[in-house]
Amino acid sequence: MGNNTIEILQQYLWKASYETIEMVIISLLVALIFGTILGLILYLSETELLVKNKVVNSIAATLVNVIRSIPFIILLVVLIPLTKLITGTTIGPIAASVPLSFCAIAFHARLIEGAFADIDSGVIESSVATGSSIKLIITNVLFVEARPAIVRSITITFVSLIGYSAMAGIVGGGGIGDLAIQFGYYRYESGVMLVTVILLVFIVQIAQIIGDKIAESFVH
Amino acid sequence: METKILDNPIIELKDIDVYFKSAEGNSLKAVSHASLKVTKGEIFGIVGSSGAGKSTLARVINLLQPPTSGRVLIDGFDITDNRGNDLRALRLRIGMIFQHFNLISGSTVEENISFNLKAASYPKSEIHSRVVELLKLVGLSDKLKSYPSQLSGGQKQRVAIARALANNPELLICDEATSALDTKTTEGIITLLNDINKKLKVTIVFITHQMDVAKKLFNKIAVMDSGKIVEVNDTYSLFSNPSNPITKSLVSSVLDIEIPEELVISKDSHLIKLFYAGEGAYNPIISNLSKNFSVDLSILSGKIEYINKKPLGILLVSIFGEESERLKAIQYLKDNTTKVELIKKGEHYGK
Ligand SMILES: Nc1ncnc2c1ncn2[C@@H]1O[C@H](COP(=O)(O)OP(=O)(O)O)[C@@H](O)[C@H]1O
Ligand SMILES: [Mg+2]
Repeated sequence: MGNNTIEILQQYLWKASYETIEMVIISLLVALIFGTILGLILYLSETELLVKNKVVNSIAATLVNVIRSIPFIILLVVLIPLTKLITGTTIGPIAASVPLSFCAIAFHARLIEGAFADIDSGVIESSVATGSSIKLIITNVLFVEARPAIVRSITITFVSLIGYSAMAGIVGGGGIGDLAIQFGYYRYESGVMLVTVILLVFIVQIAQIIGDKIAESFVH
Repeated sequence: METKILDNPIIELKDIDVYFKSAEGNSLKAVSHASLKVTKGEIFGIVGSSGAGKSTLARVINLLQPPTSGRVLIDGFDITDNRGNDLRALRLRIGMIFQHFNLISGSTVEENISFNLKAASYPKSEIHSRVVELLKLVGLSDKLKSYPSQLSGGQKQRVAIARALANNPELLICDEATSALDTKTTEGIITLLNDINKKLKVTIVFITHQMDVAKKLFNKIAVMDSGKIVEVNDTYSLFSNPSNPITKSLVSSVLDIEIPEELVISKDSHLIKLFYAGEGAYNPIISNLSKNFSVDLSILSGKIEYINKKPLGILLVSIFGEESERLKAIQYLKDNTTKVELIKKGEHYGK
């Protein structure tokens, strides 16, 4: 590793890491809130015993499908006006969080829908048979039974966001991915490329290990 | 059993149809023109082979499965069109247990039972003591903090029963509640349900394909086949005198004696099977037979089943003697027992 590499890393790595964390955390939180709600709506509205509603279901499903079918790099560009409206800028990690959030909401919603759909239908049936309200079933049955799958979904969304955030970085978001491209690719600094790749692999590994541990602790 | 004439049946199903749309668009008639009445306090069984429509019909009672047509009356009130809060209020009065227990796997026994209490807005401060009381009732006081995965099948079903009884329901629907359990555990659950029925005066509707459960638990039985109710009778009459062919085959699965394949009977004899219902013993008849007719009689095999504590005897006998005497003897048996089945006349029986 040349002196140049070390200098670049010293100068930019912390900042880049911080930007990545900022982008990922913001969009993860947004996805956790809105993706979960959207996923729950998808599940509830398609399930006979709960609150099946074809209209609501097809609106929610279309919304998710539209976002999911647009390649992320195009979503970044398409959402520029909206990004500007929300954050007042189109540059930097905060701005990049807008398209990232959109993408993550749709992605996470599908995972959450799947987590609920995998609950034993007998458990749903016996809960409905008690005469319980939907609210109580959501809090005491759906979120309890789907807990391990929800934790795994969060891990998957997080890992995907690390990947997408690198792409967002290229169009002005900054972050570790941007660092790798700017120096590692455009300036042939293979050392920088190597370190960022190792760092990304490390973050993903840690996230996966922690996620699996938490998910496991919810399995009884 | 006593029945008060003025009382409405707790359940009345009137001409229920349930159709399902298959993937190809044809409709499948899961239940067809089913009508039945369940009297308060009884243990009412619905039996039939798998796919007969029993579960579907049971789920119509609490509208987990709304009927395609027909009416559902609970305590005389038509609830078929109940939705929302009305339906929830109704379901609070009906407990339900299932073949695969369907407990919340991520919740402890206590949380599982609390769920039902919360559904009925039970006072928060009294939930714990009610759970303790219910667990005592089902004999699982030490399992408060266990998770379902730490319990045996029988214990899980007991938790499910405790949970179903949490809000003092008038009615308990059991769908194949013992079908996933071994014989001994099944006995325990049957005893528990019998106790609950007597002590708490809970009416029980129990769906099963297991005829030996039917024999031990039910007061009254409806037999289903291909979506239709083909026979309804009190348990003893149904077992001792089945009329529909489906009922006959179901009954014979638990209430029959094997005829040894290698059995050879002599030329001048009849092999017959006697069914003997009621209190009277068959000894006098057997001895009368030898006294009054010049026949010899040998008992090849026999057993007595108790259904609702009443005996039902089956005997395999061969009657030896002159043909005319034999026929007279058989006529005598026909007049004095519940049923006489002629198995074979003379020669060789078997393959
Ligand atoms: N939700 C459903 N959708 C389509 N077909 C169903 C559904 N539930 C039951 N059936 C069909 O209805 C018939 C009766 O089923 P069921 O009531 O479960 O019978 P049983 O409990 O007597 O075994 C079967 O042919 C079954 O495949
Ligand atoms: Mg069934």
